[in-house]
Amino acid sequence: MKSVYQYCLFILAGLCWLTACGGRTQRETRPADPSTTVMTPSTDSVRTDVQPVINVYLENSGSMDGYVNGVTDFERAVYDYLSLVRLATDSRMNLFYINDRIIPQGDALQDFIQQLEPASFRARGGNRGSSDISETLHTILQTFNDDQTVALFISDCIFSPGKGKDAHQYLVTQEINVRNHFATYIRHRPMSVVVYQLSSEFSGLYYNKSDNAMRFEGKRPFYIWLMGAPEYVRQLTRDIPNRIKGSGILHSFVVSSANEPVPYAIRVGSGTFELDKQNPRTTLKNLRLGTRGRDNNARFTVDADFSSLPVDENYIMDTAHYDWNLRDYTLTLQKSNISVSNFTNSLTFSAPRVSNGTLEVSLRMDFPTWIASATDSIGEAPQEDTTYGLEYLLRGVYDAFTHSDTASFAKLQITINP
Amino acid sequence: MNELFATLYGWLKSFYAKNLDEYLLGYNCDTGVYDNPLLYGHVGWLTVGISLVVVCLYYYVLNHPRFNRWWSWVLVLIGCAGINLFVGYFYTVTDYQTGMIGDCLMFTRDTAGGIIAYHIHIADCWMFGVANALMSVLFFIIFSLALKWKSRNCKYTPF
Repeated sequence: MKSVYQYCLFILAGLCWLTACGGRTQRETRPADPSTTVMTPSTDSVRTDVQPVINVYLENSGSMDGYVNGVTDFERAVYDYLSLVRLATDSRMNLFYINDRIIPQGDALQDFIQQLEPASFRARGGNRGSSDISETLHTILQTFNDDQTVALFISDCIFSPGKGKDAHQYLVTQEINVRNHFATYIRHRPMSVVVYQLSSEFSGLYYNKSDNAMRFEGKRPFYIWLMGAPEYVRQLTRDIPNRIKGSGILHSFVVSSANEPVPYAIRVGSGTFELDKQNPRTTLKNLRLGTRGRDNNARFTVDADFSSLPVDENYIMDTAHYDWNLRDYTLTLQKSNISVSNFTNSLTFSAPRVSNGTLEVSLRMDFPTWIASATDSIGEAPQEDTTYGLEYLLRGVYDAFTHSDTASFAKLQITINP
Repeated sequence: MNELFATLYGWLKSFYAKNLDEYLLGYNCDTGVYDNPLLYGHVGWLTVGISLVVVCLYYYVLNHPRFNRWWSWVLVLIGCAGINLFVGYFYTVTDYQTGMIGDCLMFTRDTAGGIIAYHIHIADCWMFGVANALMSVLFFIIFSLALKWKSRNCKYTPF
């Protein structure tokens, strides 16, 4: 009998040891299948091993003289922004003036800025009386020989139809030309375009739509364009702070072709449901109404990594920019910390009753509403915060990137099964 | 067989936190898929093994006419369940305390990384132990009915 008890105790002790230690070596996580790995910024496609070549084109037509007369916010902002770009990328930066042709200015940034005076603009030559913006943009696009080129274009973006011309027809033609130039380019190579609106003191001659010159002293908007491969444009928009010396960035306009798929996943435990074991990131089942406290809605949260998008956080955090098809669900947005959760934002969908089906969500590429209010539609006299023909110009760019159905920066698809 | 264990334990998953169930199913916070080991299989086999050993001990090692009453059997069943309760508890609480359970299953964090909600508690580990004890009762009954017939003194225990 005593041996029986000793035998039993020995076996039970062995089993307890197994419980404590035996399965431990099997607890190691299996190496993740690369096809299922949720992308993190470290595995993003940013080609940090190859720095872009930055070509800076500063329009030096006659209408730009007023921005460089003395020390102005224009010069401070341009110097600050170009310095930040150079620091962020450690890239080669080539400097040019541009009007009806490209005029090289070397690569010494400080000298370039110090020489920003009307006299230098005049001395560098070119056809300073011309301001065919669509042709200027076309000229810049033709300099893109590879994916590593990024172009910065700095201009007042004012159209100049000239005397005796049908101004409206001219603007429409320019819009079509701009659209065609960009559409042709992105057919062969992906591109993102970011346009920043800033403001500066202006002291000089303003040329209206009929090319009549009039003296103006005050504030005028100007624009910095950023054009290039999406991953480089994203790098610059992410790494360079929005606060630039001078007026800072007042508004921005962003379009992009060939956006990379955005990593996203349903957050486990974010509602009363089960994850589909085969597709847990995108499929849930048995969604039920909540039972905790006052939360009686069916809800779930989708975490997404929007860090690859060229748009800023304010755009992403506005629910007005989202479309989704199952309208029983309401959408709320929150920021996440990518260093904590591998995602930048969370989208929570909530409904008073369960709706099954495929929820398709898109972050639209909208034409910003600020452009209409920043457009001078008359073009006779200078306004402090409007630009003649701006809407036509940016609409042309927008249409080039969104010519088919409603374009979007990102699309998510969640399957809700019974 | 591991999937069978997952199904069996799934009957009792309301006993403990949903996220603990997800952890035991093999949910990986880093990948967002179930590519971690299915831990229900591990603990299931342990519980099966312990129940089988206890049944064999009762019927073929202990095997005494003094212990062939039905209440003796019930006491052994309770003892087996008690052992498996602690097996289930320690199996999960060890991972809980050593940080093996993924962060996304354990907590909800704010953007600064601060914890704003806990999803798994020590109590859930105890409740998993209770669920495991109930699972061992099931296995104990099955093994008893299957293996008792060759026992000299207990073949009619519990019935």
